[in-house]
Amino acid sequence: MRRLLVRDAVALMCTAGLAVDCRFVRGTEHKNHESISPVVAQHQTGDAWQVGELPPSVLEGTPRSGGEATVQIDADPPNLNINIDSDYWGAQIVSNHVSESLVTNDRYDDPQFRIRPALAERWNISLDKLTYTFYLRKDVRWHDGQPFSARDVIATFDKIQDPNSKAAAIRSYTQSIRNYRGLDDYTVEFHMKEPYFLVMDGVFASVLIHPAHVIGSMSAVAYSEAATNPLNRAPIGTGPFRFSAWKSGQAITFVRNDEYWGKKAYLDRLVFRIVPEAPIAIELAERGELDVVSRVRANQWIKLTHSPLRNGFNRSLLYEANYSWIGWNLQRPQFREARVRKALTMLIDRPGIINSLAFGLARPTTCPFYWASNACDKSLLPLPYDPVQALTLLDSAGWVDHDGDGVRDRDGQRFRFNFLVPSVSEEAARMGTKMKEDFARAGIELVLQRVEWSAFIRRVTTHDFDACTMLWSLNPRDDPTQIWASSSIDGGSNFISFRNAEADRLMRDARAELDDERRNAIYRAFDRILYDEQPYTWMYVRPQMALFSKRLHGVRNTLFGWVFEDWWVTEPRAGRSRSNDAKEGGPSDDAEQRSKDHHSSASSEGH
Amino acid sequence: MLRYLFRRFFLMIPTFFGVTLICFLVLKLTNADPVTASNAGAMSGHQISREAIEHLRHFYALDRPWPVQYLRLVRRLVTLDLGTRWQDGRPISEVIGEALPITLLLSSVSLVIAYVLAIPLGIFSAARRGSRRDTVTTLVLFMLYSLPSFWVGTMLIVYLSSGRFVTCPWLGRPGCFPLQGWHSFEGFDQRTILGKLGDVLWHITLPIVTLSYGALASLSRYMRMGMLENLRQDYIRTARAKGLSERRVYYHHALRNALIPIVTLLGLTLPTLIGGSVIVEQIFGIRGMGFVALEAIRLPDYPLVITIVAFTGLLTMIGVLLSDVLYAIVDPRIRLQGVSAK
Repeated sequence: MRRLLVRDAVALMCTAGLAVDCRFVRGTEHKNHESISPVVAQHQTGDAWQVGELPPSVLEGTPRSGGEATVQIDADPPNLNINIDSDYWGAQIVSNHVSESLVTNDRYDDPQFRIRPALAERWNISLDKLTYTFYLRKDVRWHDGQPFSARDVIATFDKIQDPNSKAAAIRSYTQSIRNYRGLDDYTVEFHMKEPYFLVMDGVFASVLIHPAHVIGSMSAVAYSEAATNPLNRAPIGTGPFRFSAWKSGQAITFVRNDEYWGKKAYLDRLVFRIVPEAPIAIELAERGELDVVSRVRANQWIKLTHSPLRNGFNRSLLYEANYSWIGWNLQRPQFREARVRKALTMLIDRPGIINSLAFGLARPTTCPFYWASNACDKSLLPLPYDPVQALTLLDSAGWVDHDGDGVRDRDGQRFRFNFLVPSVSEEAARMGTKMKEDFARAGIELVLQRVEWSAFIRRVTTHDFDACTMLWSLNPRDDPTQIWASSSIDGGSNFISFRNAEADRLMRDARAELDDERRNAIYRAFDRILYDEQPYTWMYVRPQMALFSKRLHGVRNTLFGWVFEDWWVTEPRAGRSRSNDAKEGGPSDDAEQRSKDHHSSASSEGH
Repeated sequence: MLRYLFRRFFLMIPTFFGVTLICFLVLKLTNADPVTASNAGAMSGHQISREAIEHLRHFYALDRPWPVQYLRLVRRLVTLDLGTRWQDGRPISEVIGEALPITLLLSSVSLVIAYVLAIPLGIFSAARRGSRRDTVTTLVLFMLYSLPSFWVGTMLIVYLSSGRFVTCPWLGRPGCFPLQGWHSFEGFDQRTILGKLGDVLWHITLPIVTLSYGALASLSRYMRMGMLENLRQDYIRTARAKGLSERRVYYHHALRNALIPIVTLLGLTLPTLIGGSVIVEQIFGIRGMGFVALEAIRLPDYPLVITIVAFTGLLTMIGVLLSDVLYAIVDPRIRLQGVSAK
């Protein structure tokens, strides 16, 4: 729901989310691209635009080095030190591409996203799952030429663990570290407080390592502030792209790191251009000034279907790890019984809502996890939209209209409730209006309450609501404890006060289970409890929609963002915009700019 | 006069406190603070721990009672230690230093244009009062006055910049004007001074049109009214009676007096000059003061919002004072003697 207000929502969701959350934002549609036969491929190329798939031709051909790509972002990230402030774009831009972590998730490995080596070439997890030993690569150099070693890892964790730094969000994960030390220049050892399966994702694949020779002498407060920490606006990393310039409100530019330890990037230059308004971004794309329009809204997507833009662009639609839901406050007498909640779910015309309000651009779900992951029990299908059966269920629960006033009642209490929606979401309000009509026909009085976002958050966290709607954005591998454990009713995100001893036990068991398959089996049992209890009415998964210029190759959507180092371009942005470039300063100027960028790699022009 | 200025100056101090206090309280009433906003991180399914929230609140001093928070903000304003922007930790002075020149450029150019066009237009209308031309001018200006700037701005972009309706082929790109920004995205730094100037002018043409037409409409009405009012005065009859040419009557006698309200208005436009137009800057993607203010209010970033409000408030007060002084200067009948002339 919140997602609708694109810029705001993303900023809000990600400011406080963990670094890891914000990286876990894209999913892949193309895991099976190799297996597509040429005939099918050709057929698909025909409709790729319609269905929103990147055609297989995007991944064909021999990659060539050179050229540049310009990606739209809709706001300046607060800073590029995402250990401090894990903004959506900050994470998209920096993680894995500029700064790196000890390990990383295999971004193409959907939905497992197994852990792969990054700055650590291998690691050991002790039998008691409490000691993690990382053996670092010896051939890594920082972008400024200094060698990378265990000192950098220690210095970074020192800053994050210091309570005076602003890294509060990521500390929610790193607080599981009891202590850590460097065994030698290339070995670090971490001791954890308890065995936890998200340690790799949440800590070692999330904390980006910063150079000790820059941050070592800073205080934790200085590390947090752009005014005192140059890395916040001009990162020095170890990744395949080096920072070149950041002009506030205009663009952030990166160049290829030719000394990268791993597979080098193809693009010479990677530009993130800040274009807040989506219609303007589409205009700029038409003019060839943008290669990627990052956020296409549902109504624009529909309009684009027959746009001439399809000649120069591919369109992609990606169902991310999220779901929107309607939550029933289980402390309210109306919602205490599972059969009543089931009836309410059956009264909500979810297919109709998807088709009308979401323009058909949403997929139904019943799963509290990333919809494609094995933690989802795929045999659990959404409850049907079935008002007749719903009425029977309500009657059997004793909710009957005894006094004939058109509203059901039980023990003298009318079936009436407030439905709280954030006022920023037009879609939620329209959904509420539709539900109000449907519920009224079933003898239930729904009162729609639209409130300001901060008030909304305050009311749901204090359980001061009857029913509400929101969207959770998840990690591909996730721990439901925060949302579903009874311990999360006070202080967590269990707004609806869900309390189930069996579910608590399953979640506790799963936390210490490091094996994905065994843990997913536990979670599937957990899914069935939620399905039977229906504490939420699961609505749908929202997609992320984007446009990619056809000159871009090697593009694949992943839940962990785009893999810029695999991108390459067929032609140097000629044709459509060369005349424009000539007008803007000419090709020679362009080259000059490029070489200039190389020289001033570590300085931000944004200052 | 000096005594008057002195007194007015001291009256500004309580006003300043009033302005900042009201602004602070209004922000507080919205009950949003950056940490509550951060709390929306709950949306990602991983709410940050309560401890972390408390820590952040402490970091921003939000855990203190509100009078303490307010006084801290005022102390920073008074000592000009503006601090950093919460959003990205950049010094506020630097953020304003980036945004202010752009806004100043936009608003001063549009103001000059509005005045330069409004004065002759007003005189023209007054001189031909009741004629068909006057009626048409009045009608057109009223229409302009009633058009909302967000609509006009959008229409200008759609018709002149998008390239769907009008294209200037010599530019080698669709449309006649850029879609957004106040200078070119690529290659701007490589241009000569003249090239840069031309580029900026080309970029700010549409924003300036959007900013100035409303002011033009209202100013020319003031001008027309002023002229008409003065033309009815006895001294004009006297001037005509003594055989002065119509030209001299208009430009020498009536105009000088008719300018008084317009000049007074000049002082009052000073704050808008700095405050920037949130709407126009948003539409044209220009990161001026309006843009910065909007971003700050969204979070909300108390220090930055209060800095901008205090700054604008201060300028309003100076503007009012200035217009009083200007009033006394252009109108010899008014003497400032310890009480406000207005």
